[in-house]
Formats: sequence, structure tokens, C-alpha cells
Amino acid sequence: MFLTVILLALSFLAIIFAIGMLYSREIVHAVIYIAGLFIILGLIYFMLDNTFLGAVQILIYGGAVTVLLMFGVMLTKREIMDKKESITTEYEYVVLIALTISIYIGTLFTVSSYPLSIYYMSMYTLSTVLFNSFIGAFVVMGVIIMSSIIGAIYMVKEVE
Amino acid sequence: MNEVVLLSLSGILLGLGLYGVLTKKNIILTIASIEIMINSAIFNFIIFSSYNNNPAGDVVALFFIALAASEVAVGLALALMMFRIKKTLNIDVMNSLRW
Repeated sequence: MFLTVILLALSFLAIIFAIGMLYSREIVHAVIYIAGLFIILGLIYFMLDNTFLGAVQILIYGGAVTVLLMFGVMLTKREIMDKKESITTEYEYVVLIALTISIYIGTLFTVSSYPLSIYYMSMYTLSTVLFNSFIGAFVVMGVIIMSSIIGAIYMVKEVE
Repeated sequence: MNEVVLLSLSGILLGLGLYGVLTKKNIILTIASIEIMINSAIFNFIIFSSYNNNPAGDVVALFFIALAASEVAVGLALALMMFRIKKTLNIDVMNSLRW
């Protein structure tokens, strides 16, 4: 019961932050809102007894991705957010599509039945699975990250 | 009860991210909305992994977090290149490949 109340409060805060990110006028405020959303999702992972991924979420998303987005804001000139038409005009269909998808997924999850207990996932178990069953995927992930970072640096390199 | 709350939150976040992707005109906010959608997918993996005591979901979530971080790096490099060439961040002017 206590866990349910805390999860409801955190979910409410997450939705508030997401809506604030979508409707803030200043782009810096939007980035701060999305940092709050990522940190709240990390807190929810902590509540689910998944401490390692909660820490990873807060470190990578709450720290690195937010700072990267903030650098993107700082390195460009802000002009579009000051105008009225920073959002497309024909957004009624978009609201319809987004509502339909979220209601469909929500009811799909609500009518299904799941086991009720949360299991504690230790870091030992996670690392055992990661470095035994998924070692090939781990190496491929390293190659993908390295190639994408090299590509990003090559793209923003000054050309004369 | 708990899992219904969490999975509904995941669905709502997916819808909000989709709304942001389809309506925002600033490319940085579009990347941020894509991040929200990826986060809702990762959230689903972690919920099911926690409730089914299966660490494979956690491993996939870890891979997705790494992939999303590199995706943000490439997307922001694209945004900087676009700002350097077009002098704006409006997505509507990014139409040179449209036929």
C-alpha cells in the first residue's frame, strides 16, 4: 500500500514534468523538465528494487544526456521558441493519435494479469547474465557506440 | 495495482513523447521527445524484468540506454550541422532530400 502511494505520486510527478516539457516556452526550461523526468524514472527504478539500473538512469540520462541537450541549446541561437508558431498548427490529429496509442496500451496492460511481487535483482545476477549470455551483444554495443561517436565528431568537425 | 500504475505511466509517456515528436518544430525538442519515447520502452523492459525475476530484461534495458545515449550524440551533431548550414533549427526548412 505504501509502495503504491509512492509510485502513484512519482508517476503523477513524471507526467507533470513531461507535460511541462511539452508546453514550456523556453527551451532551457524544457531541458530542465526532461532532466526531472529522467531522475523521477530513476527513483521509480529504485522503488522497484532495481538499484543498478536506477543509478545508471540517473547518471546517464539525468546527467549526460541532459548536459548534451543543454550544450545543443547553448551552441545554437534561440529564435524559434520566441515566436507564437513554435508548434505546428494541425495538431488535432496528433492529439488523437497520441491519445489512441496511450489508451490502447494502457487498457492492454490493465486487462492483463501479472504476478504481484517484485523480485530483488542483484547486481551479481545482472553482471553474470551480461558477461555470459550477452557477451557478443556487449562487444557489438561497444563497436556501435564507438562508431557513432566517431561519426558525430566527424560531422561537427570544421571544414575549410 | 502497482504494475498497472507503472505500465499505464509507460503508455502515457509514450503518448506524450509521440505528441512532442509530431508537433515540435525545434529539432532539439524533437530529440528530447524521442528520448522520452525510448525511456518509456526501457521502463517497460525494467518493469517486466522486475516482476518476472528475469535479468535478460535488465540487460536489454542497459543496451538501450547505451544506444539512446549514442543516438543523442549523433542527433545533436546533425542539429549543429543543420544550424551551421541553414542558420536555423526549424525542422520545416530541413527538406533538401524531399522529392
